[in-house]
Order: sequence, then C-alpha cells, then structure tokens
Amino acid sequence: MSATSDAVLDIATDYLGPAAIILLERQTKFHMKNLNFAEITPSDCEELAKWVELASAMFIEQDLANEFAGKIKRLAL
Amino acid sequence: MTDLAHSIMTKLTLGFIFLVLLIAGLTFLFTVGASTDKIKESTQQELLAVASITAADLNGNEIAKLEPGMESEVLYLMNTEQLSSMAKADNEIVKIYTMRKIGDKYEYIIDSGYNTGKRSFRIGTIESSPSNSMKNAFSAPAVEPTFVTRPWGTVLTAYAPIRNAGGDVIGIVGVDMDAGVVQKRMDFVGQTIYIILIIGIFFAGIIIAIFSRTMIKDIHTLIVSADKISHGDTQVVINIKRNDEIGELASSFKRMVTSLKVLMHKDYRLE
Repeated sequence: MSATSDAVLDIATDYLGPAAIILLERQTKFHMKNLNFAEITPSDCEELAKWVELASAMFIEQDLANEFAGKIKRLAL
Repeated sequence: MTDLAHSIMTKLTLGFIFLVLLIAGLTFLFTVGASTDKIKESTQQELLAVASITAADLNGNEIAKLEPGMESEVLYLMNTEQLSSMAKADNEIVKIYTMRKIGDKYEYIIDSGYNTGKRSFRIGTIESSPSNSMKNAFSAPAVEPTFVTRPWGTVLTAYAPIRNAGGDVIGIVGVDMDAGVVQKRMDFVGQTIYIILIIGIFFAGIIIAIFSRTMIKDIHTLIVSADKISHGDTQVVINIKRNDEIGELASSFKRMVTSLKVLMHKDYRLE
C-alpha cells in the first residue's frame, strides 16, 4: 500500500469502519479507470474525494460525507 | 428488554440514594451531637453570666443579716423583690435564690418566687442533697453539668458567690433555667439540621434520577438500534451526540453499523 492509500484508509475507517477498504477499492476500480486503491498517489485524491462523497452519503449523513471527502481532498495538496 | 428492577438506572439511583443517606445519616449524627453539646454549653455560660451579675447586684451585708423568722421584715421583702424583678426580666429563668453555708449544712435564704406566690422555702430551709457545683460555688462561679430536679421542676442551674462589702463570701446565688427551655434550644438545632438534610436528600434524589435517566436513555437507544440491526433492519439512524464514554460507545457502534450497511449493500457485497 502506498503512503497515500494508508492515509486515505485511516480517514475512511473513522467514518465507515472495517468495510471502508471495500468501498475505496470499488470507487478507484469502477470510477478511476481501474486504478488499484493500494497504488493511489496524492494526485488521485481530489477525484477520489468526489466519488467517496457520493458513495459514502448512502451510508452516513451528508454533512459527515462532506467532511470525510474534505479530508481526502486535503491529501492532494 | 431489561425490567425496571434489574435496570442500571434503578441500580444507579438506589446506589446513589443509599450513599447520600449514609453520608447524611452520619453527618446528622455527628452534627446534632456536637451542636446540642455546644448549645447546652452556651446555655450554661449564659446562666453563669446571669448568676454572676445577680450576685454582684445583691447586697451581701444585708443578706447576711437575714435570719429565720424575718420573712415579714422590710430587709427580707426588699431583697426578695430585687430577686423577683431580676427573675422576671428573663422569662426563661424559673427561679433565682440565695443560699449560705452554716457549718456543714447548706440552707436557703430568699427566693424570687415570694411575690408571685411561688415561694419555695423559708429562711433556713436546709438543702438535703447539695451538689458539688453548689459547694464549689462558694469559692467561684459554678454550673451544674446536667439537669437537676428541684421541688419546682427539672432545671439547669448556675451559681455565683455573693460577697459582702469586705469581699468575703457570705453565700451563693442560684439561677435556675427550666430544662424544657434548654431542651427546646437543643431540639431546634437537631430539627433544623434534619430539615436541611431532608431537603438536600430530596434534591439529590431528583438530580440523581435526572442524571441516570439521561445516561440510560442513550444506552437504551443503542440497545434498540442493535436489536433492530440483529433483525435485519440496516436503516437504523443513531443520533447520539455526547462527549463522554457513552458518546464514544455510540460513535463506535455507529461505525460498526455503517460498515454493516456497506457490506450488505448489493454493490459492495463480498464475493
């Protein structure tokens, strides 16, 4: 796993629990040109944040989903 | 669901109430004991002061001249009147009287009850059982350590020596306060502390009940949610916002539920 993947997974686990990895892997695979989540870099974070916000809003409140995506987006800086 | 008898709320409330009662009970015992002793002590000091002032006001030379059979003479009547007005000045004083020592006997001289029809003795009436305080008062003011029973009632007594113009002790003055008055003062302290404690326990009970209810309410919400999830309902919303341990528990529980929702979603189901 790349350092960015680890950082994203840490953030995601706080919001989604142990299933976070499944959601993240699916988002990178289906929405980011079959990208392997374990290999993401900071440059992928902005796009990942967009897809994560959409997906996580199905399971957590919208304001939490925004907060969650915001944290991932900051990793791109 | 847990019945009321086994709920944490009942146990917490009962535990706290027991603790409050225990502390209140011990406080009551120690405070009342100490306070009533102090009240008695201060009443004794008050009586000693009255006895000393009365003794200083009396004319020792005139009292020393009074002999049995002089009850109708002006000298006797004047001194009796003086004692009587002193006794009337404080309605908690039952009687003021003077005594002297003849040989090894202690005899009464005058008392404040003469003018009010409550005279208890004539000049020379012997005190059959003089107390140590009474005897000691011939050298310095003294007070009875406990209540004593006299023909006019149960009283708390203080004595002070009466001196003549030359400064010699010619007798003592005794000041009696009704035991009921002293007891009433002591009871007042006990009752006041008792009322304060009852009010304190009442409010502590209410606060404890409210506190445990708020705590248990959120635990109950978690239980209901867990129950729903265990029956397949993943649409449960847990809305508990606290900064304490229950808040942490709720947050972990919420994460677990979210994870379950993800895993049970058709797009994310594990193959």
